[in-house]
Amino acid sequence: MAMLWDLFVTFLTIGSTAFGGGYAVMPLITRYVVEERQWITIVELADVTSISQMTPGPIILNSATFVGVKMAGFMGGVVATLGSVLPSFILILILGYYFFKHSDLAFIQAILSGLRPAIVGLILIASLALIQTSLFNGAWPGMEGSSFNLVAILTFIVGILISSKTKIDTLGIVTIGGLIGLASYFIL
Amino acid sequence: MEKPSLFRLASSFFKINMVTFGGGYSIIPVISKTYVEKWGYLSEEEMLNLIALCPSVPGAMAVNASVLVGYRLRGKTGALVSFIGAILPPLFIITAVFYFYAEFQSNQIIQAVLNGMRGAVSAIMLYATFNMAKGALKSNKIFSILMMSSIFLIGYFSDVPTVALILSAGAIGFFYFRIFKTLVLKGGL
Repeated sequence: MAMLWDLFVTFLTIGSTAFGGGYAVMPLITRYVVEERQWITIVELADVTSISQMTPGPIILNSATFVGVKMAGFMGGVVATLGSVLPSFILILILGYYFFKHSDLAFIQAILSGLRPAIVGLILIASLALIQTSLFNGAWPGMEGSSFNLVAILTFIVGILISSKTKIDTLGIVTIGGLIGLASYFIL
Repeated sequence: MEKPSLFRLASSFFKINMVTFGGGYSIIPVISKTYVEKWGYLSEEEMLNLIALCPSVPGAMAVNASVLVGYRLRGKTGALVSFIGAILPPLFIITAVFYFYAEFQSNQIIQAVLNGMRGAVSAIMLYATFNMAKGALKSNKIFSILMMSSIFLIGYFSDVPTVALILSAGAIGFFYFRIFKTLVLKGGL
């Protein structure tokens, strides 16, 4: 019980301070979970990071679940996850409440007109980063360490074709990608 | 405007969070593809407005965006069911991975399936990103193109933190549209 509470509070602290998302949370986890509490080693943290690259899900939730399950089983995973997301859940509701109420104010509209194209620019960076990782082993062709992941390149092309020609949804496209991956194991 | 059922909110965010690799902004095009293109519950512009709020709070972008869309469409209950839908996939997946960790890392079949899935998700993201760009560039064309490309170039080729980029974009929007265009050009000052 004490462990569950400790997990909850620790990840609540991490969740309240992890601005920026993604890898911005790593130094916080290193400090609170690896150094102060010593719940996992730095090697295990590196493993969690590499698992996060292989599986879906934000790194903060993945590491909360991993640490929680390790320390106190599935319930540990649940409380650590809840702790890590509770601060943002409450803050985003408050922010959303005021935003939906006042979004017609001229100065807010002006700020948003600046933000919308900027956000698309940031999303494009994220898309390219994922393509670089998934298709070319983390480096663009011509750069050091780059290699062609032929199966992923094939599922990428198939995914683009399906997206532009059909109405098959995300889960369908990802399933087709997974099946092609599975087939590649038996063929190659 | 038609509203999604609570079940549809929860199940769609469960699915989206189940398949979205990459973290951070990578989930946004997938949400947009589902809620803007497929179902039309939100306009492209509204979607981008919601996303613009997300970096103001700490925590995972995927969860914040899911909660905000749920809140916008079905109020507090919508926010809650979207929240639950969004956090369950990582909880289940990582719990399973924890217990079968060695097996997971060395199993060639699992790695082959994940490899194929990542390629497909990259395609969905890139395709949906282009559609979002089309939406964002509809109004204030020249301003938007300049803003989008400069944020992309600075963000891609330098180490300027994302928060700084977002704050500057908001400030530039405020000065350009509110102060310069409305007040100065129309003689309001």
